Amino acid sequence: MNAGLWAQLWIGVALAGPLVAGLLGWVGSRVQREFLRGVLVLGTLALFWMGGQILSGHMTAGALTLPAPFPRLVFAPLPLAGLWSSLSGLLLLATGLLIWRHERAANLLWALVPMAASIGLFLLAGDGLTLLLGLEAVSLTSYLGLISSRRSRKIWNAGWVLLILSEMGGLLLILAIGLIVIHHGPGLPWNDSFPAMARDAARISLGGRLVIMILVLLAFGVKAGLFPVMIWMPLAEPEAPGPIAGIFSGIFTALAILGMMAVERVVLPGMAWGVVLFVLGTVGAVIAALYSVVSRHVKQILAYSTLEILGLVFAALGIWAMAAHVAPLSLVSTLAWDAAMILLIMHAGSKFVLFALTEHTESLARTVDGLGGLARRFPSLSVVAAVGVATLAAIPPLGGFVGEWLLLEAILKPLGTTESLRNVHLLFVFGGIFLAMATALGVATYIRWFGYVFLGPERRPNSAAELPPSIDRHQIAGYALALLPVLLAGPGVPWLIPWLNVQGQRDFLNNAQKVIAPLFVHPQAVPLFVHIGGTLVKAPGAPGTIFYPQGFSVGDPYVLLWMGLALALAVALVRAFWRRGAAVRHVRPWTGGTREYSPQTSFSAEGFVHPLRLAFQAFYGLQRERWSRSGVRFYRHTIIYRLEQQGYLPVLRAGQWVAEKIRKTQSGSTPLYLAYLMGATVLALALALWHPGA
Amino acid sequence: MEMIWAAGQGQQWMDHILEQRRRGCRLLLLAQDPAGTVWGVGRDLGATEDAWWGIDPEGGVVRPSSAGIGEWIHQQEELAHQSVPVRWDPPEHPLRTARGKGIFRYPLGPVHADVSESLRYDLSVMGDEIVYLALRHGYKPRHIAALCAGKSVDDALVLVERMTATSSFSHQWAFAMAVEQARGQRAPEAVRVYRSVAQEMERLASHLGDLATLASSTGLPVAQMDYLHLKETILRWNFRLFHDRYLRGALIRGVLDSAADAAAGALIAVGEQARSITRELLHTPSFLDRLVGAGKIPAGTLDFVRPVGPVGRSAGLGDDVRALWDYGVYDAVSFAVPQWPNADAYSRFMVRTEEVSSSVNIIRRLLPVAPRTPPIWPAAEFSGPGRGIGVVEAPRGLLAYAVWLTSDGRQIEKLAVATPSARNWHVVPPAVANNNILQDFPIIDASFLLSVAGWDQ
Amino acid sequence: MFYWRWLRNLAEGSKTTGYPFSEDPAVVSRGGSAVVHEPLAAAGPIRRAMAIRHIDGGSCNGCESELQMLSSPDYDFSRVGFSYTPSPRHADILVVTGVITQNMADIIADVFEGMPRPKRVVALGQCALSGHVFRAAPGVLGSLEGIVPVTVEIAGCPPTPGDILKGLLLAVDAAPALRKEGAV
Repeated sequence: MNAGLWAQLWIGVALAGPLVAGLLGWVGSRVQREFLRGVLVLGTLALFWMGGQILSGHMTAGALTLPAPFPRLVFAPLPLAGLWSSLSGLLLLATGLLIWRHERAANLLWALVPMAASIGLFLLAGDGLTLLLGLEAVSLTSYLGLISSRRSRKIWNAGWVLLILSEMGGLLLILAIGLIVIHHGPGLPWNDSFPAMARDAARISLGGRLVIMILVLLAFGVKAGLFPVMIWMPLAEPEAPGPIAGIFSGIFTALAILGMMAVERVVLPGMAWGVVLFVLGTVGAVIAALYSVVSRHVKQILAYSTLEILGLVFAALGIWAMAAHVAPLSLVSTLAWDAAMILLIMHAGSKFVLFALTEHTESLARTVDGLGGLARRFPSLSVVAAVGVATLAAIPPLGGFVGEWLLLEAILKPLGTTESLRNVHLLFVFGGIFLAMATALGVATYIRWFGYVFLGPERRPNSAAELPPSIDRHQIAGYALALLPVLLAGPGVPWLIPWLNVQGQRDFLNNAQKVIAPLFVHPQAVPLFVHIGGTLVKAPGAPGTIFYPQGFSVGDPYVLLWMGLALALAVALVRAFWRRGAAVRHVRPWTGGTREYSPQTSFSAEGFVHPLRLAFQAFYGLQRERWSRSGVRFYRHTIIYRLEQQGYLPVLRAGQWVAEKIRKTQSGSTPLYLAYLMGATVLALALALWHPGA
Repeated sequence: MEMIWAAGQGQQWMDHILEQRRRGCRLLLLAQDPAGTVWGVGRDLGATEDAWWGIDPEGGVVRPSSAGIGEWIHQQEELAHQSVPVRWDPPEHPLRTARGKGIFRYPLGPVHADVSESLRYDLSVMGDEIVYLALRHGYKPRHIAALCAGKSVDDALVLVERMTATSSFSHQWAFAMAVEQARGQRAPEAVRVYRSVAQEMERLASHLGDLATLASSTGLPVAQMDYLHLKETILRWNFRLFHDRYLRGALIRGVLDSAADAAAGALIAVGEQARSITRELLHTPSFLDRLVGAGKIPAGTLDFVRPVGPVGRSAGLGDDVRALWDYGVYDAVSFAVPQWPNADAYSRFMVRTEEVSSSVNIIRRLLPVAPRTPPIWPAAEFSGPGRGIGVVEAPRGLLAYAVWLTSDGRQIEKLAVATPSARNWHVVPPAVANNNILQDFPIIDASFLLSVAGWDQ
Repeated sequence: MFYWRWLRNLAEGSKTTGYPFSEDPAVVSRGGSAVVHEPLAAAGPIRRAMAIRHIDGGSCNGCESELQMLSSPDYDFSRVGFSYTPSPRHADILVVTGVITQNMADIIADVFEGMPRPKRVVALGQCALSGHVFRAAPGVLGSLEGIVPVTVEIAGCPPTPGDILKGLLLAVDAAPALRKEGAV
């Protein structure tokens, strides 16, 4: 099957699925729901199949000829489309399982079916027009996913911001493509495939290419959480249903990056492009990490953490672009490429899982301080969450560790010995300071999130009515499926990284040096590393392999892991043999004699971050107020969201002001218009008299 | 001087007291006499007579703390919980809590680290910043005032000297002074010399112990041990001079042991040792850094409670009962009343160290003239019931007793106490919740070092 | 700055009394102490750590003052292995002072419950033994009976540091050592 047929299939599913479901509504809502469920399952299976076809190299480009005056549509798989097609299928299937018994399953299915189709269509974009159509399809289905399940003012607001920013992105993409294809010469340029566009773009100056890429970056940055066009995410993701927010965060971000890379491959924008990516990525990661650590809302924390991880991805791509440009044979670009891809893959799985499991917490409370002690009520859920959080917090051997490790290696590894290379490396290290800070803040964020949601005492006594339903077998299967990418990017890296490097070499002309090697295959290499102080870091998953070329590193990251395991083992042995299984004496916790020990007397999540809030108070614009009224001491602190309040809001206000003025000038009375006319005439006369020669 | 208002004239009663307070009259205590009349007692600077402002509590009385008088805050709560309670208007303090997102309560106690009395601190904390503090007492009331009613004077003395061990003699003296005033007696000078010596010995022991605790709270065990050694030296001298380490029974005994002749030298050495420790501490940055600016009492609280004793003198309130109304022989021995203006932990430390020196000075001068044989009391003729006020400067500040005697003058009909701790505890919460963090708390607590036994009487 | 003082203290020699293993005229004994319940044989003797958890059950702070003096250089109870601990989890000996008010009874029982075995309870001071002069006060129980099992009673108002030290040694089965030294 070629790409054109696949595209027709996806368009058919997107149109026919909801249409038939609408007709089945006459028969009964149950039939309708089961039909949609069936279409979704078939769609995910189709995504798997398509992914397999692309991965095995059997997918050929194809075209869809439309009747005049419409242009011909060209379809061909995007770079890495095989991998992401399979991953999208996986997560959509997991979503289907998670909402199997969901009370609003039908509402969600209405959005999920077109969503699956739009993902399939997007991944097959073969020219500028289909890329634009794919982006529009994804934008529309994400809007549908946001508004389909609930109605509230907040959702409408978030939906509007999403739509406006998405459409702005669409316009920028049209502009960018237009700027490329005007160099085509005579003829109808819209149906140029990407290779043809690459020939067009080669005629553009370097500056022009950079402008085009920045337009594309902003267009896809909206979806991918790029600073500063990501503001819809912290608004929309907390409001969207858990699994949908997980797909926004895990899949759509990655798709947008694929789209951006597809254009990048066409335009080849050079060194400055890498700097832009690196700077925006670093700034975005730090800002998002700072906001995510202080957020109160369970899902908003996750939304900001998405932006943090995507900031890391953009920074890694920036390093990749720069290093590939200045030192094409250096390992740095390969390390950064691997880092970016692995971060995306692990983030898709872990963030999807975390967002999805907020479905169980929402009915209890929406803030971390309102929750607590869920581990006792949902032990299996807490295990899932622990894996997700450990992944994002970069605990070896899971995916987050591998991604962040490779990123920091790329930063630390010297590019070369010439002065210009050293200057570029200095830029990496300078940015690396902030990236390291962002990842450290990220760890605090995830500890706080997991600790206050799952551990500790239950904050509020809940009546039986508002208890979330227990977890059924479908959901366990869904979570297990969704955690597969975490393993793929973690213990699976000895197999994943070589494959990624081959892909990078094929699609982006990366050098495909070895990042992972069997430990003792190159015995002559080992003394060299030991000589320069390098520690041989074992690659997870495959015993006897190491991350091969090291710049330098500060220590073995596995030491802590092994220490923790050894301690746990020691405790287990003591309990098993010394105490011979005798029960440990349980006594109440020591509270200093205070009897009414309650959740309100245990450390709060707000208190946890208060020192950080004070340390960064200039950034947050922290304001603390205290006042007493009738014996009650009130305390309040507020922080400023600078980008929203000091960036976008003034622009919005200025726009409103201008609109208001224009409206006023147009709503005047007849004498006023006559007065305008009079004044203009006098002015023209005066000018004419003053310049009689003209 | 006595003024009395009828039932329903609570507002006029309160206005008069407020006016007197504004004029500079010191408010001593608030008590209910056996007939049920509520009396506020005050005394002007330099006056020899107390002002008694009475009100018939029938139908409710304006709550002094709501009108801005914090000196009586403990006694008004006591009166509201008696068998025939006084009905205050408004009846309750407003609910005291702290509100705010993420604020959590950190209950500390009633059992806390090391050796300490039972009291619960409910710290409302934002991160590590203390936003609000509520103290919960009442774990250990022994109802001493109630137990004393109906007892003979001698039996009551045994009870009041066990109210707070570290100021046992001050309680004995204030109680005895009140009884003597009720009987129309005045102690002869020799008795007052003896009592002054005993009280200053007690102040020495108490202050040295407080300083040791403060040194330990800042992690300076060497200074703590040095201060504790000096305290033990004083306690051993107490035993030799008065036959009790905490001066129990010393007032009845009335004469110094003959060991007193050897005491002066040893006590002067204690004073010099204490000065030398202080000097070293003032050169220890890790000590000063943690004290300066910590636990500053807000101005509004100072004006409301008007703390007494070292706490007041370290906050620019210069009251010292010994200097205001000489009840011993303090006018004869000139001594300095230390004053520090900053109301922080450092000021409280400095006031205590300076008072150690001045106490040693007083003892040094009085020891040679203190009686070795029982002094002779002038004969007293007493008839009918009487009431009396006794006010002394206890180690922690102004301590006032009011007694009502039965007609034979031998039995206590009613007893009321205003201890300095019960008053000063009310400045601790605002001082702690004044831009301090949790790590400052033990130091601030140790810089006040008030007695819980004096609050939970 | 304090190091000089520390060195000088070292040079001056120990201020610590040998009491109760040897007589010291400066250390007075007024009340004495008595074992009221033999420590449970099953619980075993306390040998190494002798951590003390103190609770104020309604005292006048005299017993507290004397307990604090135990850590002073004059008595230095750490030389015989005692120390104070904040948490009952680490405590071997519970020392209770004061008249035992109704409000503190449950808390005392809680703390005892939280202590690991072997454990001892010392009732310190006349108030904890009988309520002393406060026996008739409302809300005052006057004894630990029915709350926790008392091992050793130490009399006195307040007991002197020497008496307390001797009583604590009795509580940790050090009576034979004391007898050998002729102190009991």
